[in-house]
Amino acid sequence: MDEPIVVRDARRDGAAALDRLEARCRAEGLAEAVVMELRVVAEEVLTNVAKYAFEPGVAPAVELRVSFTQNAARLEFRDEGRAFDPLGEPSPDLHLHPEERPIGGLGLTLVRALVDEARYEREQGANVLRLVKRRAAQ
Amino acid sequence: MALSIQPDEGRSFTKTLRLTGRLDNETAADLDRELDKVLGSALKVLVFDLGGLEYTTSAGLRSFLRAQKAMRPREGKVLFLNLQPPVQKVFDIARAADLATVFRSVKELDDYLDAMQRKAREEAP
Repeated sequence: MDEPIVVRDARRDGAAALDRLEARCRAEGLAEAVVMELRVVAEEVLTNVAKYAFEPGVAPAVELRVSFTQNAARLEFRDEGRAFDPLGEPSPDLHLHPEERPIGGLGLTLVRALVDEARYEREQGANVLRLVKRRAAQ
Repeated sequence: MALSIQPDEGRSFTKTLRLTGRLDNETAADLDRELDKVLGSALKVLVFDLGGLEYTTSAGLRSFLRAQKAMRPREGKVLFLNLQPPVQKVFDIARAADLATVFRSVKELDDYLDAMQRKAREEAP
C-alpha cells in the first residue's frame, strides 16, 4: 500500500488531497469516469468530516489510504473526531420536487450510491470509513 | 481545475450560464455569486449549459436547487442542457432536476423555448 494521503485540515487542504487521489487513480489506469466519481466521493467524505466530526476551532485531520486490487479501488478514511457514522445518516426525501426539497444532505447520498461497498467502524477512538469501488462500471 | 462560467443572453428574459470545468465545494461558491447577479435581473428562463462540466459534487447540486427554488415564485424555469455522463449520473441519484427540464441538444431546447414563447403570445391579452 502506498503511503497515506494526510489531510491536516479538511476545511483547507481538501483540494490538494483530492488532486493526489486523482493522480494515483489515474496512474493506476482507472477509467476516467471512475476517477471522477472517486474524487466526488472523497470530497463528500472530507466535507462531511470537516462539518460534523470536530468541534469548531479544531482542525479536522483525516488520513486517506488508497489501494488497488485487480478489480477495485479501496479508500479508507480515518479521523479522530467524535464518533460519527456517515452511513447511518438518513437520505433526504428525493421524491420531493427539487423546488420543494430542503437543500442539503445530498453528499452522503452520493457517496452511498457511487461506491460498491461501504463500511463504517469506530476503531480505537477513530472513525474509519472503508469504501470499495469496482474498476469496471456495473 | 477551476470552473469557468460564461453568461450568454439570447432570447428575452432568458439567460444561459455555460459551465466548463468542475463543480465542487470551491467552485460552487463562484457559481452562487454568479447566480446572485443573474437572479437579480428580470428573468423567466435560466439555462445551465453543462456540456463542458466534468463533474459536480453535492455542493454544485445545492446551487442548482437554489436556482430552482429562486425561480419558482416568479413562475420561471430552470433548464439543463447537455449533461455529460458523470453529471447525469449524479443528477439521477439525487433527482436533482425534473426530467422535463433536461435537454439533450440545443435544438431540443430551442424547440421547447419556441413553443413556450408561442404559448405566452397566445395567452397574452
